[in-house]
Amino acid sequence: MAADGNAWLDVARAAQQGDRDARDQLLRYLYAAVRKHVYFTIGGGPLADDVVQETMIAVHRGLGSFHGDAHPRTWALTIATRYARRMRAKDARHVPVDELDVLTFDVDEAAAAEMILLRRALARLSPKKRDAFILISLLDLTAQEAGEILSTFANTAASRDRHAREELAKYFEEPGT
Amino acid sequence: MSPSRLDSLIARARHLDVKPEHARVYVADLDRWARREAAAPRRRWPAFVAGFGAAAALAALAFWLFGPDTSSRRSEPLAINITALPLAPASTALSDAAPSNEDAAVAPAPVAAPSDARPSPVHEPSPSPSPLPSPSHEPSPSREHAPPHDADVAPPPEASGPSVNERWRSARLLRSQGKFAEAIVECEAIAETHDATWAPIALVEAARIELGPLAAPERAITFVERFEREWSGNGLLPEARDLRCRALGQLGRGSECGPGH
Repeated sequence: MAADGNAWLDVARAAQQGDRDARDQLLRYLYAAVRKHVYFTIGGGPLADDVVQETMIAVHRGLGSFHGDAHPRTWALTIATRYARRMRAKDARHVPVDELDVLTFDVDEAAAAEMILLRRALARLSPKKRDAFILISLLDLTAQEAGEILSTFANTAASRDRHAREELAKYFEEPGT
Repeated sequence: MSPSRLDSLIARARHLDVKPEHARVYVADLDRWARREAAAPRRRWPAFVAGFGAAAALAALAFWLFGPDTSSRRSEPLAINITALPLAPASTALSDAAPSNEDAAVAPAPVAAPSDARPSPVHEPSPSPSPLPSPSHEPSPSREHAPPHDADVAPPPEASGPSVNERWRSARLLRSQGKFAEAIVECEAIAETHDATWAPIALVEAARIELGPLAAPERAITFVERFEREWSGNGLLPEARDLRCRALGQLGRGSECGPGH
């Protein structure tokens, strides 16, 4: 993770110095991370599209002033988390769309069906636990990074992730799930 | 299901990834949008200043006409003062203006003006100025880094009705509000403009809405066919065809889906 982080930091620096290929490469990488994060956080559909869009616009605009204090992905996911919360609060009537866009994601139908199942299970968790679980268990971030994104302590993020896992395990043990 | 099933789902989720081609097209769109945005503010400022000035003038006029103490205003020829002020020497202006309360009444007007002027289009962050067609369009790598001189980058011409850009914003807003039929009407209006950038995007968007939320595959196919007729060389063609195949699949006519169709 550290090596990967350093590599992407180098790419980010090259992008800041005007290397267009590096910038495009970084934006593609961040877009994939943001799109995946947003799917698990708020599902698919127009609201998710808007969150991804707003996030990527902010990333594009902010790339020049990115200091490199954190991994670029941590930075982008912090923005995405903020936008997702804001959008959810703004559109209280939003009905989550669990459908996984097969035009966007590189999945076959069976995998898409499993992701929909997981997404529905995630929707049952409290937002705090869900966010921690997504970042740590699904996106493979460290507890420290998840804590930074969620504005909390690393231990708290790890604890939320653990509780989320337990709840999900119970949910999947129920008959009919 | 068991906890191990959860583990397998987690493992699968970790390997979930966006299609590289889709990411490439999205970033190209983002880049194009950024260039468009970079060009836009220069054009907005004069309009904003003109609008602010007009609103201030209107507010001043309204205050003078309908504000307090109109009777005394009628008794004194304020209109003459107003027209004379800019032309008269400073001392004359002071002597004319100072004693009466009309000028005091007129003075606050510019302060009140901003509330009427509503400068929001410039300062609002941007759900609106972000007409990125969500998933994909025009994979044209050769134009990706082109200087902003082509039709894609130039803003839509000033017109009396809403611009294509505004219509696209409206369509996105309606779609996000669940007003799918209205969103499709906007998409059709955009398609009618034959704008090289937005018309194909709008047709694909309309097909996507028909196929998804409205569950009307026949109408989705109609939009795709129109897309193929009018924009056969567009980079969105693969996506349009994919939508067509999905629509045909929903109709139980999946066998009609193929490169020849």
